[in-house]
Amino acid sequence: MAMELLFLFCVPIVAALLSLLLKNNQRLLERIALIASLIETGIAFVVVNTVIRLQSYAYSTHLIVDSLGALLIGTTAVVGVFATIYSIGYLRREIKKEIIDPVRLMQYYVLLHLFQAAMFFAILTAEPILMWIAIEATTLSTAFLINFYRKASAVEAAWKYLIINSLGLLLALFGTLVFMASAGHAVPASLSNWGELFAVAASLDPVVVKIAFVFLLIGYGTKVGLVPMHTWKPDAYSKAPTPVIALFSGVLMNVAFLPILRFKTIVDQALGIAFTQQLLLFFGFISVVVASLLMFEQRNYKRLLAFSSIEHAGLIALGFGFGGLGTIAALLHMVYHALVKSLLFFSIGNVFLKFSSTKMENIRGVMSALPLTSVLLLIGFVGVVGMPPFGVFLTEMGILTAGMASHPILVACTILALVIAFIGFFKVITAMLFGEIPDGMKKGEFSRWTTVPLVVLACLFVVMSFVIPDGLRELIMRSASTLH
Amino acid sequence: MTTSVSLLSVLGILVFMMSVFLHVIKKYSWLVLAYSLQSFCIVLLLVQLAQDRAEPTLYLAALLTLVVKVLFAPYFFMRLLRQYQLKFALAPYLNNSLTLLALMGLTAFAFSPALSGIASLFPAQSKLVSLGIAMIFFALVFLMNRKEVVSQIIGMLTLENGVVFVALLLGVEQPFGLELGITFDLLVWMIIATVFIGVIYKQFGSLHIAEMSKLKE
Repeated sequence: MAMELLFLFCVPIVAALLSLLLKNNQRLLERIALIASLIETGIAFVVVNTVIRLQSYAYSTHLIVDSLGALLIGTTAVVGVFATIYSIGYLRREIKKEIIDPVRLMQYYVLLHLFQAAMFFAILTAEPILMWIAIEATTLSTAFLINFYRKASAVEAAWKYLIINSLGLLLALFGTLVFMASAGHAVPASLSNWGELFAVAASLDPVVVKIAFVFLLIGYGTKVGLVPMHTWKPDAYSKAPTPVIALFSGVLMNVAFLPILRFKTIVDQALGIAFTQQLLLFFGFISVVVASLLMFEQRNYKRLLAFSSIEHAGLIALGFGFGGLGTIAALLHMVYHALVKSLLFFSIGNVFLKFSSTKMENIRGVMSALPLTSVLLLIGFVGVVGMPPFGVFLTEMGILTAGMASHPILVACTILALVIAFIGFFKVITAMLFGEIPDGMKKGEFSRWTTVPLVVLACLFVVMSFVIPDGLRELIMRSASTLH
Repeated sequence: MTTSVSLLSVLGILVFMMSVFLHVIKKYSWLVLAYSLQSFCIVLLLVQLAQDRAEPTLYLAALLTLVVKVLFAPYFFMRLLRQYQLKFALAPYLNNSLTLLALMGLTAFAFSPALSGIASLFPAQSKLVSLGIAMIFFALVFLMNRKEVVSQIIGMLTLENGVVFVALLLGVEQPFGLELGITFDLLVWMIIATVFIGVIYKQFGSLHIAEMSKLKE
């Protein structure tokens, strides 16, 4: 009866409730987090396999997973389990340095579980309004995580994040309601889920659909971090704990794209593809260009990675805008980006733990100080800037190739922006990796909790760059066919 | 039906007027009161729509709105204002004259052909829908124009009221589901307000947005 779908978001909720009862038991908190994330990954694996076999999987009419949903569930679960394992090692170091206490640790795990639950629910739900509630819930749970260290700058970043994202989501809600009102007038029946909206798409008022989609794109685009709604991202990324940022960049961004894509299919059915194409290309292009240029002036490596995430969000939007091969490449890019960005953030997390600074001028000699992390950081860098022969290179080429015939100038400018981003990144990474380490700094990694997940992620990313599993290919092709 | 249309119009205009008054009010307690009155008008609107459309769930939505937005939320905010001895808001970025000019411009835009498509979804009360859209714009201006955390929270809540107002007029299905979602959002905002107002006050010694400049490198 597809109970797995119910369990997928119930398990993290139960884990959150159990964690709430454990104020001073660090080991038990860690075990609950680990077991919960492993169970979630197992359930996700079952769900994904079922969708590969049956094309969709449903628990009543309220929780439905199609190929696109399965793709996101798989990514969320995989990145989630690595983030949880990494969190254990990361937070142990923070406790040892007396930066946080056991109560704060408990709060972290509770909020992390609630964050995971909200993301799973957003993917599973078949109803636009419930999806909105779930994504709003991610804003609210993560606001406290951004403020985790309780410094003035963290409070400011969290407040800015809350206001901008809540505002964006209210605009998205308005767009959703206008959409549903239009659909309700077209066919006087109770309409609540994506399938029913799609069925009446052709009879929707074109003007109303256009207005609604603009609000939706701006609203959910705020959550994705597309320019110019991106201003919360660098601040939030620079202040939140590293495992949380990995989830933000690798997973939450993809989840926030989901309602945009769902509504896009309906709008395309109602109006043809040109309208959504123009909007996605516009926001995608300015995101890539602005982020690439701003990466140059960053002095904080977490902010640098935030702008890199904005750049990749822009690339994904471009891919969906171009359509065809671009859609396929964008979907695969979402997967690769989730893996490699998480790897990069975890590596940077180790650098932060070692050097206790996020300013690039204070980081030198990572290769000596953290030999294994430096190799993984290098893999992450090479992967994220799209160097061959890794997966991101292929997906970027796919996206740009898709637009070459129809938008040659836009593609040329995007390539230039990507080159600028590469130079900006290269400058930073080489400066950080080489040079003399500070006097008195102990060389070596911290623990297997902060290295093993990175090694496994790196291997996963490298292997998948060359071998795309049949199941993943199937999911991507099916998702692409529904989107375009 | 004519009586209910007149009543809807009166309620709509009252909700709209509260949105305008918010911009000229400087005292925090009056801001909370204006929000409470606006929410009460939404309650009456829900009751009227429940009668017109013979939808029992709208009565439930009205009750939920009354308890949470009209009674609990204002009580909660008044307690916060007393706790931190907050009385008057700072002067906004735009003075009253410029603010009202901006609101006039936005009202004209809400009634313009660009957005008339949305209003046409409810032909019987298309002007009310346009007023609702204007209210959403007013709330956005309020958020950008005010310099304090408390004002921003109230701005967010009035934006929610605007969205709900338009949604109800447009006859969106599952209004109870919508109210539940908004109520969930409101309750969590109250948790956030409790936590963040205290934290912001402790870190910055003030609830003024201008004081929050630690992120500037």
